[in-house]
Amino acid sequence: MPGDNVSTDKPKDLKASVQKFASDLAAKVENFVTDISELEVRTYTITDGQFATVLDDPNKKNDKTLSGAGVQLRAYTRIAFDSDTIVCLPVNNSGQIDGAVWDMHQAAVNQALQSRAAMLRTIGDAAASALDALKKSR
Amino acid sequence: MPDKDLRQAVAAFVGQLKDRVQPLIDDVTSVEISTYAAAAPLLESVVTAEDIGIFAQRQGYTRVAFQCDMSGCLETGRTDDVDASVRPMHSSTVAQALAEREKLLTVGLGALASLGVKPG
Repeated sequence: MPGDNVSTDKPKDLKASVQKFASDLAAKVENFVTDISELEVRTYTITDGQFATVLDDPNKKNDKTLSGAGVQLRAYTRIAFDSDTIVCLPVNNSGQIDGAVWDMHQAAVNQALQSRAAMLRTIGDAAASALDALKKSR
Repeated sequence: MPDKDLRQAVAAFVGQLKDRVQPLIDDVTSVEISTYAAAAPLLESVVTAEDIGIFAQRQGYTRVAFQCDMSGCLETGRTDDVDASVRPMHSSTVAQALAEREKLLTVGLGALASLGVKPG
């Protein structure tokens, strides 16, 4: 009966899926806290017309920082896990800071902080759920 | 065994998370916020330096001290030294750092609790 195959295969599939998920999650969880322990945000400006040259370069896809003609770092923030913070702002020849760039940089920093907290919450929940599912799948 | 791998990974995760969260709930903790300014063309080399202070001028510094326990943290002292030119930026960064510290403490404790761990 076709139904017999379904009834015996489904628990096996489920168990295999849970174990696969557990294995994949284990790889992520192990170094997660180290990965998120320091958060860095860099805000760049790029000369008009240079976007494609800088952003579509396949050799630089995985680079942590941007570089190239017309690229300039405009603001930098580093936040440790205990929230100790370093901000570095560029000033022009008159000692003035560009308020518009600062506003955009702050928006990016806020987004990154929210993302870090959400990821920590999600990984904690996922690890707890996966451990529970593994117990039940035995 | 995948379940053994997950247990080991979760144990490592819990250990690392406890190491990070524990200092936040120890008796005395502090948050330090430094705001530097550098000439625009030099910013890239400044931020990659091991000590930013060598190449950039610190224009704002705040240190906030806390007394903390499991029920929360109480501010016990604050040191401020901020130039007028960076005051709005520095102030918003201080507020952001304090809010982030509280949020990470809550989320970190929540993550540990969901895994059955109580720090301290």
